[in-house]
Amino acid sequence: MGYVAIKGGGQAIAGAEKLLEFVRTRQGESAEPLDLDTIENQLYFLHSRIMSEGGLFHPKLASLAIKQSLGDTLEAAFALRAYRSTKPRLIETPVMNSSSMRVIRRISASFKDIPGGQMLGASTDYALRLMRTELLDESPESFKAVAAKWLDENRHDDIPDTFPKVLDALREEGLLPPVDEAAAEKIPFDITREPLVFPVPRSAALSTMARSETGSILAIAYSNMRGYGDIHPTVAELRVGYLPVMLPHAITGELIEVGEVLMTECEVVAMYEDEEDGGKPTFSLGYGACFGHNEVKAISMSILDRALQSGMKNGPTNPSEDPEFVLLHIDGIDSMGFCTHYKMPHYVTFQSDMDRLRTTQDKHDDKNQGADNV
Amino acid sequence: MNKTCCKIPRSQWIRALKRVHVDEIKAVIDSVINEYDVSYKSIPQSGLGVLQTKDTALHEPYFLGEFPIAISWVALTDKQGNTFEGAAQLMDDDENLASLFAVCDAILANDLVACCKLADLIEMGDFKFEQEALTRKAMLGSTAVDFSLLGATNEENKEDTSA
Repeated sequence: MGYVAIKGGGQAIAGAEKLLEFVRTRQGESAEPLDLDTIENQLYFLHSRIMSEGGLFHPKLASLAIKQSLGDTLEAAFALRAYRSTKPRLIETPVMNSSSMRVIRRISASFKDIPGGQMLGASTDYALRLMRTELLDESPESFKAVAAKWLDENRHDDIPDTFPKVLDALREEGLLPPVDEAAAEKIPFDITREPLVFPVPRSAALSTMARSETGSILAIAYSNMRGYGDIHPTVAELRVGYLPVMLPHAITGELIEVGEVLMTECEVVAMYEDEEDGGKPTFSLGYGACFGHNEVKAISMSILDRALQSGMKNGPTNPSEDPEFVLLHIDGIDSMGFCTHYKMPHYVTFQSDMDRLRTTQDKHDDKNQGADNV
Repeated sequence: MNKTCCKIPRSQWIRALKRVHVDEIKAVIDSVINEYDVSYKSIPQSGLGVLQTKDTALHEPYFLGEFPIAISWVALTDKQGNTFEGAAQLMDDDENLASLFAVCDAILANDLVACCKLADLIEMGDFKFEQEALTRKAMLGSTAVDFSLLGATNEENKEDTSA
């Protein structure tokens, strides 16, 4: 592949940049510019998606990325990822335990009566998918009234701060493999510091999937669901909530809450396996998590985690079990970059292609003329 | 920790301060900062932290992603030569804000002048956090599924058996 430096396009490029800014602002006097809080709250799921795909929990900059990219998810995640690459890494948290999550949604497909109970939270699961035409001319007054009314009508002081994990109950019943204490001591792979050179540990797969592009990870997980794989998952628990981030105080060493991150977490129980050492058969498990509220991504990740565990152990039997195939094709920044580079000038390579085609065509013509002369 | 007039534990001071308008905190600090010589125990910085968590299926640690972090560690020396240290780390890009919070930490941890004013702000921030917690609990409470109602009607009985 070859590239050639282009001269003469500078003015056009500057013009294209200005034009994009015109497109962003062309509503003119009839509109207000989007403010960052509005993006964070009213484009809640989009905002979540950008934080997880950008790999950076920065609500304000995620909003800005959406604003400056005119809502292009790949460009917004790219801007956030680029920003993070300019900042120094100062600190690594101790291992946080998501059982301390301040939950806002918690469901299970495994049991009705999970410890602590099921709470649907804010969900589109039961939406009729009909157009809500009443929002076409929503007034600021009615908009404000909805939230105020909901807050007035809903008071529930008797809800606990945290909830037990469904998997812990299953594990106590001996239905799950025991916790591998050695695994808990492993040093995680840092995908922001080291390239993926296969084989990679499971922690590298989890980190890569956590910041993957939602549609990409869904597509590969969907291939497994449809039959190119046999995970057959049951969601043991899907939860959304705020995980407190704790760091040791510089003077006392005491763990201090420095903030919290919104995250989605999913554990799936999959088909049981006979233990190779003759031990008791137990269900196998898959895990998914990401920044923000993104259930499709967390579920897809948990299915692929299970598929990849199987592929790492027994060798892949389908694409979704192949770590190299999965992990190198789910990053939105990578794939978008490769895709869009085809728009860039390839004048030299294409000139070469044309030269070769013409030569081949000439040879073809010569051969045909020769055949005609025989 | 030394004695403090603040009832809220130190582990929650940053959480509370982040919910108070920064101008209110600055006003308190500005009123007393001339009593001290402020020096940095380390250079205030802003950058990124990486969030390490464990997967709750197999309990293996991994990195979920990164977050902004600002850190500062200060020493306040009074006119008698006594030195009091404070430090702050918060999810933010602003190292100046971290330094402001580090000064608050020193004042609160050592019960210095204006400790009670800061303690009031901490309580105000903690109240706001509790209000947020109540809203989150309302999200759960208002959508709690009551499976005991299954079987109460024929229609729901059918749902139960088909699930």
